[in-house]
Amino acid sequence: MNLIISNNSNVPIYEQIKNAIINQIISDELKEDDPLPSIRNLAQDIKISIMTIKKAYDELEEEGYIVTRQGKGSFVASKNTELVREKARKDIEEHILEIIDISAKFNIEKEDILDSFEFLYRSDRK
Amino acid sequence: MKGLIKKDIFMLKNNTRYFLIFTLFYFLVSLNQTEPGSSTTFILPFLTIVMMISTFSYDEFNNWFSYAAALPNGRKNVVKSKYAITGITTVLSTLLSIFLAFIISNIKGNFSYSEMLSYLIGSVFACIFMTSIIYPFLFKYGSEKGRLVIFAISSMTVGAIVLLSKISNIKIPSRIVSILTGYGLLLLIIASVLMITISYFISKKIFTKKEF
Amino acid sequence: MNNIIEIKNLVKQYEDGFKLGPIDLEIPRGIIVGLIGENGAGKTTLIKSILNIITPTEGTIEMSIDDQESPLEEVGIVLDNAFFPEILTPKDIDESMKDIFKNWDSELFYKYLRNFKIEGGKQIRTFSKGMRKKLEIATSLAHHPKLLILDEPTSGLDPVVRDEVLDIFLEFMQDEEHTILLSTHITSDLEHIADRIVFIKDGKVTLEKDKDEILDNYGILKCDEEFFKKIEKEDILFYKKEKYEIKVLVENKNKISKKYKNSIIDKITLEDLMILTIKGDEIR
Repeated sequence: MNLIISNNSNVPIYEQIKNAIINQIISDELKEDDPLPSIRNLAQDIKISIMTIKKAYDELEEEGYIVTRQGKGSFVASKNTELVREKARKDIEEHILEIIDISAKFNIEKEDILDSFEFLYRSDRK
Repeated sequence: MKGLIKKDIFMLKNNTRYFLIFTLFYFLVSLNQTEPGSSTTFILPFLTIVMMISTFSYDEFNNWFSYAAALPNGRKNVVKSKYAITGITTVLSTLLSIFLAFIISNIKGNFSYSEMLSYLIGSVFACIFMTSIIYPFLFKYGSEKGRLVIFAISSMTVGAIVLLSKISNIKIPSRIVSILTGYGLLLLIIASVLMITISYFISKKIFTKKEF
Repeated sequence: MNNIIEIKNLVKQYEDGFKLGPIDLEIPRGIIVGLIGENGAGKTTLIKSILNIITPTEGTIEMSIDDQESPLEEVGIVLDNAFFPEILTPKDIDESMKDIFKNWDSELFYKYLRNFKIEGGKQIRTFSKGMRKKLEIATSLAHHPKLLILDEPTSGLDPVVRDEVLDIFLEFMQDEEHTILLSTHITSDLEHIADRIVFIKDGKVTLEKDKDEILDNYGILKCDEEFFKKIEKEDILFYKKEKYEIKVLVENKNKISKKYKNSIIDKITLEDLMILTIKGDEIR
């Protein structure tokens, strides 16, 4: 498992940890049933506070990426394709919101954006 | 408490060299004296007290008492161990003095062993009285002001003796010797036990309430 | 989560006028709690009250520790400027501590000394300031405590050694029952390892939050006078006018950045937070 954490990023550290683990699950670097380091171990290894890591693990578990077995630790859950798609959809939504933000700032019409979306989508998928 | 006593012994260990040099020096001085009244073996108990007081200043310099207060049973044991270690060192230095007195009287022949012993007993009791008075001050005000108290007490005592001998026109040292026999001795022992006990409880009370 | 220390209505009034409290504070078990604040704010007074080195004027401090008879058996301490007399050696400390703590572990003590490259037979007074601190830390850990209470444990240490020391603290935290309460003015130490931050100002706790909540939610909005006038008063926690910009401490930075278009909001560090809350002004 790799974890590259930036202290200067605007993304909260727990989210960076969470995303790094999700990405590795999606890309199959972390496979089903692979054990994750314990919260306290990971805290020591990457020198990040325990509660930060706990928060990342808690959210990962809540979202179904990992399971915690009492007394044994956390493991990668069975891959749920629907879950992965859901995550992708969420990511897309966030990007769209950003587009809306920028277009509002510079008074760009919705039609213009949809046009360029059509154009780029088609040329990219060719 | 054992740990705290050990700590003080380690501190005293650093000064044993000076203690031994002093002892040797006084021993040689005694050998060259003609009058037993000025024999210096009885200086050793005083030297011990001075060394004990120096441990207080080392303790204060690094705020040891503050640290000790946060150790298990620290507050209770700091006072106890100081009195205990003072007792131990006083006994040891007294034994050493007796031993030296014995040697001196054998070498010199004309020195009375019992007379030297009387001086020694006098000095040990003087030390007990001094400790009893000084320690509560040391725990309350620290060694800096404690030293002033020692100075005040010793000069008052000397002053009183000088004054008394002037008025009554008798040789005080020989009076002391006569006091130290029979009931006088018993009375002194009772008085010193009483003083040291009272002193201990006062110190303990001061220290348990002390803020650092 | 249960609390290892519960402080209720703690007040310490000094004759010179300084007053700590009233403070209500809970230290949860199993995490690292960082105490920050400027010198003289009351960090040391708080720590000394917890350790019973000073007696509070009012209030109670409860420690929930197994060994109720002498709870200090399970507490490891590093105090700011108070330790064994410096004419002693680490070896003397080991010999004495054996009879002070039931669980004193000489082997562990010497292991730390070796790690820190401290010679056991030398008098403490020959050590540098950093060495002394390391010795104090080794001493605080050698009786297998469950709670560490540390007043400025990293002051005087160079960055490399500080890193080593933080490592040791995190190693200590591998046990879920272990807790650390440490005060420091080197806030970057806490940014890495602390779970919770308690901020003390003028004898009072002005902020008590999980560290992530602070670092992820608070921000510094940087703007000019004109922009500043447009910000609603309730959004300004503290502000500081500087020569070319105004720095505004804000909470909920994501909401704020949406509310005020084109605003520049910087990530916050604990140091920024400290400076802004101490040196900045409030709108009231």
